[in-house]
Amino acid sequence: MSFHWLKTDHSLPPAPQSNGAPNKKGYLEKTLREITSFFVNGIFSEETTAKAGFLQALDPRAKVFTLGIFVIAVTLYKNIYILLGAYAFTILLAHLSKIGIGFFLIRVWLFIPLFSGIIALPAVLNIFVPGDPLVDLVTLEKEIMLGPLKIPQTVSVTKQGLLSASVFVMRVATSVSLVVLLTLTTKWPHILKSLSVFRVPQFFTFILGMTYRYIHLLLRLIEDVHLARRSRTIGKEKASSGRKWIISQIRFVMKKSLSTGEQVYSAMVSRGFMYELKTADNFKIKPIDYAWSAFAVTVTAVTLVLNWI
Amino acid sequence: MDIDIKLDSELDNIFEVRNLHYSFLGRYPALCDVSFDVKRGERVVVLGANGSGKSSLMNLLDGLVFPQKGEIRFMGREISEQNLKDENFNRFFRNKVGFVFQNSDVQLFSSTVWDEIAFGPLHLELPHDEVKARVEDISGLLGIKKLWERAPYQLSGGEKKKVAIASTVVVNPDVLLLDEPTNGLDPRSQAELVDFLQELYQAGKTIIISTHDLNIAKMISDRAIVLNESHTVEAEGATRDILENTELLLKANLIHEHIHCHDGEIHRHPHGHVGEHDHEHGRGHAHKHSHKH
Repeated sequence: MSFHWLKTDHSLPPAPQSNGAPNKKGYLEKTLREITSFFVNGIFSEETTAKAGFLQALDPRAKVFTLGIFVIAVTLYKNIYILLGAYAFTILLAHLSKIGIGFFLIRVWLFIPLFSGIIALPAVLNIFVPGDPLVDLVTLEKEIMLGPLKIPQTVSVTKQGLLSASVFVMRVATSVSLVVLLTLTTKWPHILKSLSVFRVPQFFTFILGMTYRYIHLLLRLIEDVHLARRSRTIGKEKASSGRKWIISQIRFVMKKSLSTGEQVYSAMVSRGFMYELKTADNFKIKPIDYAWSAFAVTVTAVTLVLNWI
Repeated sequence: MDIDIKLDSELDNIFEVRNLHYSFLGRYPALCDVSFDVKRGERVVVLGANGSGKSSLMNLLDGLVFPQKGEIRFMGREISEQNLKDENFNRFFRNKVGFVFQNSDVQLFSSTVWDEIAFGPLHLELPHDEVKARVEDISGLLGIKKLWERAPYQLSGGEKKKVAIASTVVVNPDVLLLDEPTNGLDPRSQAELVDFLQELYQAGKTIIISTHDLNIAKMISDRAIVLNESHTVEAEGATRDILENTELLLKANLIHEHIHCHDGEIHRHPHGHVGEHDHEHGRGHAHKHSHKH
């Protein structure tokens, strides 16, 4: 076998000058990066869970229990002032847990309540919620019937509509804030284990934990394969060949995940797993957990009573 | 834990492997007519080139896959799918035999290091207090307490291997199977592993290691079984004798002929994963090479 081509002189001409245009990242690379960073930093933040704050110091079970009953209570509140109070309380909790308020507000308000706001927006109009007009928007020639929907001659924002939309948005924002507080102050495995408080089967939480763990592994693999391919790609690539490659990679990852699954099962069997999953935790309930839980139950009960009066 | 299993505990042989045949999908042979014994308290190394069937053999010894022909006996009882379905025997066997996988990523499936180490003892039904005490002890011994709350994906290769070993040793098995344990480890982690295995050996454990690293084999075993590329046993004997048999090692593809140049002269000599070698060069001058891998 001749390897003369491997031994030929590779003195290259000088590297061409950059035309100054920024190096665009492909959509595939961007997607992979985003998915990885979503899993690594997006939902759970290792950094904030490690801070010595108020919620971080609580037992995860107490946290899941109390924040859980707060979420239930929030869905039952109808009084906007109580809801506003509850929301302010979540900000206070964030502050006590050493979470940056700006970071916390952005995380809560950026997406979910934005969408819920869009859903709630029509409710401010007298088309959906009749009531005392606050601002008149449009005056039509006459009333229009659109199927079961009656569009009044003067379309206006009503006091009642604004209130019901605000209640809806505040409920979502407060509930999301509570969940974000939990995920920012509790490690993911601890949240999963604490779900046993709500009688969630252990098998279910274990599978969830494993899914999260192996998504990481497979994402890293996909990223490595992609980078390896990029390092060998010279020049511009056709979109069609990129698509073909993605399809082949989906098959590869599928195969890889199946074989990893088999090996993981073997590793479990090797350490005594038969059909039933057994887990333990080293959580310790402290007096502060009891005090906090008692406080949460009392506050919830009192505010619910006030809400119904 | 007392488990009522009628086994011949007086037997000197822990494992008896007889005429073992194993192939992937019934088509690609991994092991052909393999037979050997492993005695109680022995340190055995299974040597073989990549693809010689070492990992398959370890999986078979741990009762994770089963042979198409031949049999493996553990303390006199056959390791078969049927026997391992017997919950009592399964618990007994899993208590006695621990397996450290080659790929730590498949072995570390729990969400945190603490959960990982506790998995084995919990499934072998040790009381929770005992589980906690053992996790604490083994973590202290291997210096991995600081990793308890970490997720496996956050660990380095050496840390992963330590956690994998801790999660196996924590059930206090009599027999420890290790598949390529030094793969991907830096020199310090390798040295720590060798020291730890020495301690386990001195504590009376039977240790079976598969590797192609001859340097490690020399340090951690007394007996070697060599698998060749035809998936059969090429030789079996004292590790020292096996490692001195250059012809055998060449045949099993564990070393290769190294050609290099000294003083303008071309030499050839065997070369493999061993610490150093001496060889004579032409014109009567001798010198020594040191190869660190």
